[in-house]
Amino acid sequence: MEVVVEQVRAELRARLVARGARDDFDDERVFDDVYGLFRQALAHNTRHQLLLPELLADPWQPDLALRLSSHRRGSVAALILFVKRRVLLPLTRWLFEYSLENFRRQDRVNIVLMACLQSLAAEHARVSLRTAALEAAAERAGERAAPGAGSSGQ
Amino acid sequence: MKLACVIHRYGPRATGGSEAHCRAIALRLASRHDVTVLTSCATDYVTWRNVLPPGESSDGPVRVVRFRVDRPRDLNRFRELSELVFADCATHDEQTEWFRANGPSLPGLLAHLSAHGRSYDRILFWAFRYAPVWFGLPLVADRAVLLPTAEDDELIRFSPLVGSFFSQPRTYLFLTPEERDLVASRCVGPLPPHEIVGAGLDRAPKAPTREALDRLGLPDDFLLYLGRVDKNKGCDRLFDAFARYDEQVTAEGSSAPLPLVLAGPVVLPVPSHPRIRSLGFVDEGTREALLQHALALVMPSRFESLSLVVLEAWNHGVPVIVNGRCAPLRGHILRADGGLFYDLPAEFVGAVRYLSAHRDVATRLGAQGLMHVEREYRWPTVMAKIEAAIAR
Repeated sequence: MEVVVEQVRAELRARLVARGARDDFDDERVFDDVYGLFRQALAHNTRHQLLLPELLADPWQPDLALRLSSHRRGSVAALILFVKRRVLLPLTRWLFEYSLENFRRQDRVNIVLMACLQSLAAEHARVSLRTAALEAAAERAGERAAPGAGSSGQ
Repeated sequence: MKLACVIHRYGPRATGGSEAHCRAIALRLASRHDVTVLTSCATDYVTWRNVLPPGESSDGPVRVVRFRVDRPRDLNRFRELSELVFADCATHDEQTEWFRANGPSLPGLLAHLSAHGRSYDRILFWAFRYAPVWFGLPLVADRAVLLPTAEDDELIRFSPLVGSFFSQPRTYLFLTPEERDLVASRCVGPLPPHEIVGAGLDRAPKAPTREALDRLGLPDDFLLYLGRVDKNKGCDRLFDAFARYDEQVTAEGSSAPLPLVLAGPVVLPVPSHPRIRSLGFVDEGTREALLQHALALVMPSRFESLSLVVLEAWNHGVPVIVNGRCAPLRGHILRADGGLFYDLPAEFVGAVRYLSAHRDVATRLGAQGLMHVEREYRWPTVMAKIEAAIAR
């Protein structure tokens, strides 16, 4: 299987480079990293593992279910709901399902994009932490070297 | 032991995967135990209309008790509820109503479990999403053995009710390790004792000749899809990926693309394509010949808990190309090394091209699949696991 996956990945990169993505994917290692990140993001199939939806105060998700209601009460409401359910909805079902399918696609893309963002943000945070640790270590090494340099100067 | 098997439909003509699995196991268990099947009078899984007479009958050594469906499925209401449940928008009450609407509604069966459930040593339940299991299992949880046939769909991912239901059975019988992992990931608390049993297969009949295929005018080499031609089975994506494969190979002109042969009832429009051939429902002899002579079997479904047809292809020494986004299918391939999996249409194209260019590899993968079936999926192996699990 790995042979096939490798071949597919190589062909994809060649195709993108040929179409003008040379700046991004000239280096095969860069392409492989980006490819891996996107594949990982594609594995997300719900919003439940994502941080960004938790932080979005306003509704953001396409509404994927139709909940029929009426502002009236009692038997009038029941009649209206019956007409909506059994007459209007069946008549417009084709349009409803067409829209729903497109909303589902949009929802999937939203989740994948959010997953990509989350992976990139996490990677960025890890790199920042590593850089800070390296800088601190370099600083400590500088301080250790400095006293010796100072004493020789005295 | 005195055993009961609870299943939504039962009989030689009930063609669903769970129904066939239940019947094959009930008939085998009956050689050592007193087995009663508790089921509906329905033959149609869409409407649940009563067709068969209620009451007792027998299926060889198995006693069958049928209960009347008290109301057919309200398809409009079921569709509305499904949209809510599968979009993660349903309330608890709507989720419970979904299981009721999915049916079949068998108050007689539930009353029987309440009144006589304790007279059985174990009660085996098939397919958790059907009403007799969802509402019946909690009545006899201390002796319930659940074969959930769980698929990684939105119902399992989103419904909070599922987690507590999964903690109730005394024992589980799973079809694959991936199904076990899925149920364990949703189960509230530790997963009850379990066994991975799969499904049994008899050895394939002696290699059928190509005669049936020649009559249909099929070429020597072809890709095979066997089963219901349905969007839920990923057939729409298969058609797109196949068209891409066909275009690429045709454009290169170095070899002729393989045709795709579909065999099974069609509920999705099949595109008009010179190399896609839909045979509709085929008889057993043609089915065996197709399995024997295909270059590879394709299984594009994302939602499978086992996929018996993949095991059947291996039983004939035929390699498979499966949707890698379906964990049990991917797991089959990794365990058996009996084919290739794809996540992307481009990988499907790559897999088909690789197998058609490397026939020796295709033959080896098919042989490895057969060895896997010999090791794991012969009836004596499967029944020994089931006997051990229900004796616990």
